[in-house]
Amino acid sequence: MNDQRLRLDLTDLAEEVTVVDLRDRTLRTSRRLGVQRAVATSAAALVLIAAVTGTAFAIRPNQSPPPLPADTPSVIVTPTPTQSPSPTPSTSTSVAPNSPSGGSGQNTPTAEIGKLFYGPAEVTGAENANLRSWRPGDNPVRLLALPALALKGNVSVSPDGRRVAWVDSDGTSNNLFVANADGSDKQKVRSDVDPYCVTAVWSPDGRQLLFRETKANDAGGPGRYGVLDVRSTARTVRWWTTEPDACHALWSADGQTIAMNTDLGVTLYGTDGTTRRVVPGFSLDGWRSNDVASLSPDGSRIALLRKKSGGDAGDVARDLRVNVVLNTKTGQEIRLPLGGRELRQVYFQTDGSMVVRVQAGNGYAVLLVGEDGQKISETAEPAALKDMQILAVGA
Amino acid sequence: MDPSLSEFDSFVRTRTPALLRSAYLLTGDQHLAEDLVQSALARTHRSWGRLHHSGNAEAYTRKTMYHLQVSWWRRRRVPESMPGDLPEPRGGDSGPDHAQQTSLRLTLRAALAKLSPKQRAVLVLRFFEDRTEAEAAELLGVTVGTVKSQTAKSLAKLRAVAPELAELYVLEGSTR
Repeated sequence: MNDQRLRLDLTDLAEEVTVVDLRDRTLRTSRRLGVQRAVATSAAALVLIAAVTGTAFAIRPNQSPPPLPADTPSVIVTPTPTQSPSPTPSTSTSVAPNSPSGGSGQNTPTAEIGKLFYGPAEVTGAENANLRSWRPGDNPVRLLALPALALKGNVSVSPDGRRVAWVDSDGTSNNLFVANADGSDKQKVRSDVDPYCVTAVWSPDGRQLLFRETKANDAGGPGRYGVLDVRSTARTVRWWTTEPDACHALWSADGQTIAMNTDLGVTLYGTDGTTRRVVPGFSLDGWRSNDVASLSPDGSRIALLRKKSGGDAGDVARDLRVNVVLNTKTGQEIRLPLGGRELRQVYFQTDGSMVVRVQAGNGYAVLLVGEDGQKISETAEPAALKDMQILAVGA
Repeated sequence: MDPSLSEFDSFVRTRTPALLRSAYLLTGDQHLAEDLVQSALARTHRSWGRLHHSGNAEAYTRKTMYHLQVSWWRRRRVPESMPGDLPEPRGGDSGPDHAQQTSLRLTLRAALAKLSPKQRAVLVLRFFEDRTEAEAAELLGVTVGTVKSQTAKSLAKLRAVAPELAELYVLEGSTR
């Protein structure tokens, strides 16, 4: 036999479908899409349609589990960090930098870059790799060794830089671990945790972890969000009553806002999972974002990777590259003083300033940019960090 | 009636059967296939003026359909409905041909359910719609290399989950 037999059998299988007239349903859907487009949430429109027509997605019984993201590990763990994102340097479309009203106000002359945490930019095949830290003026420091996939895909460093959380599989469950940054005091704190999409994230006080629990061996399937108190003896969890279709949670330093990627862009939530608002500026035919990297202390600005529609949206693994910082209320781009260089990463610090990583020759430089958008300082990164990406900025 | 609406009506009614067949292979379910086609057609309708004049309506609809099916948010939103349990392999060849064919169809259907949405999409494009690797890559918005690798993975997985199919198909994939 040859693959012609597969063609014939697929044709035979396809004939099972009953042809129906979709004209009226299509026009109804189109009208609803038109309404929803105003808020740039086509996915929400589909859900709304589902609720109204009773025909669509969410209400169908879960007759078999959704495919695991882990079904395509090569897709999940090998985003292309060495490829430059579509550059969106400051252009004439940018708006002037602004000072969010809820921020910490004027930059002080003493603003400085905190401790930067690094992991490999690419998974090279090594089973483990070391977390590293570096503070401008010091030498890089080697910290605990973690599974390479966790270091690339889900590790989270607490805001004070002392604790690390990550998810690793033991073959039967995806387990959530915490440890000190030097590797001591390692503890398993939960089982069956989403390792790729809603990766665990620390609360600003380093006491809690937001995570998403899944069914065993079903990392991409239905689940629930929980806020785990890692310092409590009983490891209590406050469960959300909602389960947003979202990935890549960020927790603002003021403790009030969770930002996550949803459908085409970003949605802001309260810490109990209630929806606050959708960040404008994303649409089916325009800009999209599947990856967010950092949220400002008051939730007014977000650093993310923004792409034009038409690309492959099938990868749930996180990508910490950044090509734009947006105002979360207006969706407008915030201009950064890049000096004509390519933007690679951005992390907000607790005082509202930004650590901005740019390409500089064969390596990188980190800029300290004040909340007012002005550059405060610039430091060349050590060459030893050339093949690494910044994972977090600690105090 | 608005002439453009009449043209859109005609487009929907002539292309729905073919779209539904592809959607059925992608989803494995009558209702989900209808939802998928309806969602793609609705997006086509939103851009009908531009698409109609450029003659790209069907290509746009198919592209939208495949993107919707493999997009991560929909994958999380839509529970897979294909029954995942493989039927018992048939023993010998004692049954009538049509019974054998029915058994094979059930096996193929269940095996497809074991694939990821993207793997299923690649198989449907390459072996049902008979698209070239370049055409499949363009429709999915991925590279030809991704189509090649996903095709190989899909066929390998079919072979793994339904060995009886491996006996029937040459599962190395073809390159065009």
